[in-house]
Amino acid sequence: MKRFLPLLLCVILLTGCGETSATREFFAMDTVMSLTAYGGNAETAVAEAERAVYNVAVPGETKESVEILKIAERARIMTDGAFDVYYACTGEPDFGGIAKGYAADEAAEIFRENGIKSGLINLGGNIYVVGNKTSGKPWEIAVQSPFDENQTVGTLKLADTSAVTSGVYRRGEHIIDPATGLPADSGLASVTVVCENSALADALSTGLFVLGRERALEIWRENRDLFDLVLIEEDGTVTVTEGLESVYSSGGKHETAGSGEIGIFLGGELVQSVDLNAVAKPYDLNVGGGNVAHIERGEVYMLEADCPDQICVKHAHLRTNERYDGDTPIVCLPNNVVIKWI
Amino acid sequence: MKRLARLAVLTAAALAVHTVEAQIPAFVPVPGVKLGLANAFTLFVMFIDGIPGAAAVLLARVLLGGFASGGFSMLIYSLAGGAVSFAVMAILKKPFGIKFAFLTGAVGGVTHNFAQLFVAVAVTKTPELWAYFPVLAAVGAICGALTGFISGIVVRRIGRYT
Repeated sequence: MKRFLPLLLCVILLTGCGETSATREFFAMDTVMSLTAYGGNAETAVAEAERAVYNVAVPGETKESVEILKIAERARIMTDGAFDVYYACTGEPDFGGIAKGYAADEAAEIFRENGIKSGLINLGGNIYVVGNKTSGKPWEIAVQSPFDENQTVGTLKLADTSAVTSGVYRRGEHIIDPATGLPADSGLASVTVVCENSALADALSTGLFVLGRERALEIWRENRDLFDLVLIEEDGTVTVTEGLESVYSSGGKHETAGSGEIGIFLGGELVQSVDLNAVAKPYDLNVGGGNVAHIERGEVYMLEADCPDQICVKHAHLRTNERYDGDTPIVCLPNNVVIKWI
Repeated sequence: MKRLARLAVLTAAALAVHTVEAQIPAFVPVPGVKLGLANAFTLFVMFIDGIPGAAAVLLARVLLGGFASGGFSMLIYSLAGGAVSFAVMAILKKPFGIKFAFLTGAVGGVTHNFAQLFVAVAVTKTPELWAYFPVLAAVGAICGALTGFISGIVVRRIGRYT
């Protein structure tokens, strides 16, 4: 019995209690790619994943094409055609803006099928993180500056999701605006989409880049549970959507989108939405002829109303730094005017 | 004839009370918070004349009140609240009787405010307004109990003379 113990220990130590890892680096789709997995099946996982990525990179009539087309169509609809795999000129589809994302999804699925609980998939900047790092903490993904490759603007702590960036980054890679056929010029320098579906993230990052900040944020608001954004404008301004606020850290300042939006409704219909955090100068807004709302940075209230009750005027001001989703809306019933958080 | 005159006078009185009460500014900035004293007449007429008579008085008072204040858009709220609470009070009047008229009034008040809130949410398409319900229910219950109590007392004191 005594002899067995040291032998047993050696066996356990040599197999490493399952903390094996495997990494593959290779070149595909015109870029450097790397797959890293931690776990008992790491070697198998990365080998299979590498094969899957190559398969996607090879053009042809595959079942993947059908799936890619479905996601591409969804992105096309979401971005009003700003993302489109079909260029007006050629009539042939170009999956460049979605292939890496799709490949990342495939790789991630293979990792999971192999029981990998921690893995990093980086396909030329198209990132998918499986689980957390082996330490249990989330992966830290750097958001690169579009102006200086060596500069990091901020970091995102992510797990089990994908981050894809489109922008004016490297290799003179120009994103073409399908509407004009010319390089996109929307005022944005880069768009990073965080979404559990990497193919969609890839497609959206291109489409939203073309559309510009305002429209990108509008589309985000319609799909808050689906994805989040980090936008960097040509002048360096960084905007992070609310869903990432708690996982984004940076040395510089950034704006947060989504925590200050109010909607002004007349007769049950939205007449205007305002992001209180983005208001520069205070102003008064006449709503429907009977009410006047006062809007300033971080605050909105009913200034005047022609109703006898004046309940809307007496209502507490809505303030972004006191925002509570149970806040009652400011309502003027006689005029059917409503101001509330959206 | 006498009956018509009687009901007309009561309608006028209810309208007067309603108008005076409307001059009092709202205690809290919650839409729909009011004493509702004019509703004492509704229950009173139910006791001394009957349900149809009370319905007529209520309808006349609400419509005239709408014309007078010029707030036609608000008419839908008064009608909704009035109709629902009227139906509920009509049902409860007999079991609770005069002695427990305050209970009838209380339930009437709660349902009145519930119906008004329901209409408000529908018209403004703002479900967030339901957050006001606890306050409106409490106020409705208390004020309704008060008006029901008043109805009961008045019925007992002068009911036999009408």
